[in-house]
Amino acid sequence: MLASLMLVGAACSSNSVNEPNNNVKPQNNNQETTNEGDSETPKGPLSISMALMGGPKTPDSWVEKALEEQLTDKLSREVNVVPVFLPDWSEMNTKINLLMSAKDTRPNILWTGETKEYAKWVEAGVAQDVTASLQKYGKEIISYYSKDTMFYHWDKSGKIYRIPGDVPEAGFMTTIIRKDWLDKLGLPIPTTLDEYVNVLRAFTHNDPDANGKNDTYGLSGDNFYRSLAPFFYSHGVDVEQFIKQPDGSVKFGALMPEVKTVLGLLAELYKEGVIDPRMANAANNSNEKVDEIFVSGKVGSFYRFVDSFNPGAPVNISFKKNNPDAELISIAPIQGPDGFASDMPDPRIGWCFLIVTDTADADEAVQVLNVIASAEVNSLLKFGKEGEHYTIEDGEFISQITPDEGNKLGFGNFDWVIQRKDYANIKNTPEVTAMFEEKITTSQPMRDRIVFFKAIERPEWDKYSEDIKKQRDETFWGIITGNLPLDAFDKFVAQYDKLGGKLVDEEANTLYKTQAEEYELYDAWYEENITPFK
Amino acid sequence: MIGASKGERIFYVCNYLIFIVIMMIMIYPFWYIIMGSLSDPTLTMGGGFFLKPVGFSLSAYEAVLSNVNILSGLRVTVLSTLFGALIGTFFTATTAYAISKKRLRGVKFFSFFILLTMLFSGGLIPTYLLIKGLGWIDSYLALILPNAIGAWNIFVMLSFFRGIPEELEESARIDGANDLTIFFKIILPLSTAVLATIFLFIAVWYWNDFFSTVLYITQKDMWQLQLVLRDLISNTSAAISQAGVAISYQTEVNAFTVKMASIIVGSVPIMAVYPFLQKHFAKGAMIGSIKG
Amino acid sequence: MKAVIRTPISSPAERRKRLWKDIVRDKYLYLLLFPGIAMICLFRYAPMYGVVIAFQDYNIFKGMGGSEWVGFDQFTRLFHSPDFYEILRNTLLISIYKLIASFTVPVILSLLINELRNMTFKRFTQTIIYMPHFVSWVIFSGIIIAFLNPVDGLFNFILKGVGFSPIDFLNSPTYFRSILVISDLYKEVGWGTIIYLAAISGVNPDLYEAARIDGANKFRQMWHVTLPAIRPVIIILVILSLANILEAGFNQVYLLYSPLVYDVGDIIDTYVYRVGILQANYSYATAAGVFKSIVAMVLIISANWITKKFGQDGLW
Repeated sequence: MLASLMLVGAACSSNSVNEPNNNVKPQNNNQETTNEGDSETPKGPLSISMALMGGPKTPDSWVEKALEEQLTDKLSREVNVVPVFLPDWSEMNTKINLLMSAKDTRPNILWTGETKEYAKWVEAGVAQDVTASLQKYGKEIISYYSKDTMFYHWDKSGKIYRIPGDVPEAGFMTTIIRKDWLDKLGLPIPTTLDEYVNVLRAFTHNDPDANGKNDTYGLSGDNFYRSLAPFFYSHGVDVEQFIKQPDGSVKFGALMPEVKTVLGLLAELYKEGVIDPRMANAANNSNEKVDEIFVSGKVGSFYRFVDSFNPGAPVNISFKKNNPDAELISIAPIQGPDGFASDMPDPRIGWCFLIVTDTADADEAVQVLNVIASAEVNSLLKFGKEGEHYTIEDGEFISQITPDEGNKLGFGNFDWVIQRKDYANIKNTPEVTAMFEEKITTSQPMRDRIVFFKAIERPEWDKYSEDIKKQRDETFWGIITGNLPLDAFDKFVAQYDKLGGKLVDEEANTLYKTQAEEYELYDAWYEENITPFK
Repeated sequence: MIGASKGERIFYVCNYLIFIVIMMIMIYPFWYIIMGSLSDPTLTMGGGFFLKPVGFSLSAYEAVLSNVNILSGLRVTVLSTLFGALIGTFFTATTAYAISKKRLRGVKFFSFFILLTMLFSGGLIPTYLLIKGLGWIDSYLALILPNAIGAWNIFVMLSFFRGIPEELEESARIDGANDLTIFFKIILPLSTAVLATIFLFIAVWYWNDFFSTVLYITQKDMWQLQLVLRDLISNTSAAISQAGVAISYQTEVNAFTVKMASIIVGSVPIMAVYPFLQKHFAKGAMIGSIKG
Repeated sequence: MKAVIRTPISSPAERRKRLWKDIVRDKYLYLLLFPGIAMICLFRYAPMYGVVIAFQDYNIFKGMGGSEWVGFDQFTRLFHSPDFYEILRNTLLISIYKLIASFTVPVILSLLINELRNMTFKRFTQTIIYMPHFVSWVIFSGIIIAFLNPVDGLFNFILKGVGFSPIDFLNSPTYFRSILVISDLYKEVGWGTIIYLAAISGVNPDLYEAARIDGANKFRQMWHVTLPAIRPVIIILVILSLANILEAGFNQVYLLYSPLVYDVGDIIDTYVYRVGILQANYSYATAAGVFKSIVAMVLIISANWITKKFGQDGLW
């Protein structure tokens, strides 16, 4: 095992780009001294502290021991993992900032969400460049994450200061529809927007659950715009992002003329009672509340998680209990008037990251992360041992322990530390896996149109976006619920510049251009520094 | 009720009726929580008013009470609440009494000095650095002392102390008592109502505190109870989506019932404190007897 | 009240002598004062330099010494946001409504509770009415939404039953502030009675006797005996609550509000929160905090001054 590492080390170039290096010894960095880099003598024990946010945060758990066993085995030295459990979501950032503020409190590997502090950490030298370590020891990591994903974590100076911890699937939401209602009302599966609207109307007015009461809705969901995806995306717009225009510029999606058409349609449907009024209230945004509506079985269509089709998903279990004869299916994204159709694309950047701090040996930290990144260990940490904690029957994942027992064992503690969504996520049934596969292609149209910005510093956006968003939300939901006339949209567009929109647009266009240029540099760098090591 | 007029008797009856109605309305949220906590977790997703449990299951309580850190959380919080409330009440009283005396030189300065702390604060980081500098990280001292006394409590006690007649003090002074003796032997015994009240307020504050753990504690076995409980349900899809994180899947079952059970476990002990303190709220009689 | 008699002419030496004499006379009071002031100095004033962060682009690694000074930038940014006056107005209105509710209703309830003769019933009542205080806004907002939602909420169920069309209460600018005030009152009124009951319990029973002899009935006794006796406590509590005049209740509003009611319900704290949500922008939030504190301070000082002009004791 160590011999193969040595070979990799021999073949590697060092940090400087372009130099074939004759250095035979793998670079063991200077901070934590355990030995002098002679790879034949067994290395001393390794203690690695990691900030963790996921799971039940059980201390001294079975999962922790299992991980230590794996690490000890694969790294040929005794490894002790020291979890630093982060508190609740609302206090998480505070704790992270406090931990990072002094060397004696910094964990070896930090887990964090997106934060402006990141730039300060890089500047202060607290975040280490892991390129060399990835080349030597990070094969699983760089093979799993795509080139496009890693672009967002690449610094122009040719360094990588953070590794994504969890990148959602390319498309994880889909149009869900009540198949049994379609059958009862004698309707085919809708493919175009007109057909979809007809179906929704039928769901509302034609009493599909045959209980004699007018209590069903066509569409429901939370107050986020993504729940209205069938309408917006079929017209090729996303009102929260910048969209590439035919002339090569980018424009804030909320201003595009197609939006007005969509809002008009939604307002009509809302008035008819096709859209659940609860959708218009942000207070309903907790998944709990939306699940309640979902489980109640009174709504015909949602735009929601692919994961709901997993038989083990809580919402699925409750739905089946409450509606034993109902059948839900996932359909292809609805086509708009131009034939355009798309599912919601995930930016594939990752919403959380791992940073190796200056208190750790980068090589050692990456070795640990690489072990966790392997499919085998990934599944082990999330689900346990086959036979003992779960079984697979006909491709379906059947848990052999209660969720509570799982919590005690610590399953989930290492969530979001290079979490794999591919075959290692054995919770997905073959059908769901196929759905996720499909979503990769169905989400591509919008992915091609939306600009996912890399820059962390976007001063104009930071300054003005909140007021623009507030105006947008007040206007759009006002129109949808009928409190505002449709031409309020035109007023919003006219006001955009006054709200700072002009500066925001300029900045967006500049960033878009520089990002494209940067990507070219990145492309070259990647081919040289990463591809050979996969 | 000898001598009660007809009007007064009607009033008494109405009073009882009003409060019966009020109590039924006020108890509803807790009723909801208790019923929710006893429900079957796979059935609760349908929502509802929970006038009775939906299905029946003790799994939520099992989950809460068998949590690895529940006992340590309880221990940490009970100890810090007890000592915090005792220390806090006592020193709030001493400070409030001192500034209730207008003859004290500098009393206006001290009052303003205290008032400013209610309005301005240095913020999280300087406070954290202070505690860290004192070496109190992971210690009970960090959980108890920084917040033991607060301006609001001092001023409230102050207003009560002002209500104690000067004559009582003066007659004691004639008998040779000094300020300390007066404070301990006269003022405190007469102030059991406000002392009990402030004790309750401070105790509830300590009991509910979890933020001190976020700032000053790193060992999980020193986590305050409320943070342990919050943690039980923190990685539920509800909490995550509230945090604004776009997660692509839902995490686990039975979050709702566990949340309900953790509220019951986390609040019933402290709610039981007030009834015990209520007997101190009938001291008006004492002033009269001393005067006589 | 002992009047301090000053001789018309006093030299600095004489004044110093008198000062020292007073201090020695009150030495035990200073002893009582000392621990509290010491703790306040240590835990509140030592970190007070943090207020400076409001004027910087704070970088935790460079500390305050190394962080850039931005002067009043953060403040001007706050004041220049297009909706600043709207959010300020919302904050003030909601606070004031809550303030009025929070010292009238608990007082009335306390007076009524005081009249309950049956001890067990009285204790029972006191304990139950303060239970909602222990229910967090997260849970309570869920209950409120369940009751007020336009599809199957209880209130709309009743409305539909008597023939009206359902109202989306939480999305309605007409009702939103009232919902905030009433639900807050519901949650806190019981807790608020604790302190008034403590004050009422301290009223000398002889005063009631005297009033009764003079022919006063229950209500007149309440008006002429009880209320004046607890007036100092009420006044202090009102002045103290001015410290929170620009805190309209972030958690509650955040959990219940929605774009359709931003114009009546968006408060300073929710706005600042949205701006800072992923940015960890300490300075902006601190600046907002400093602004709120200054306004509160001005109001408290004024209120204190007005109180003393009316012959009552203020905070100092």
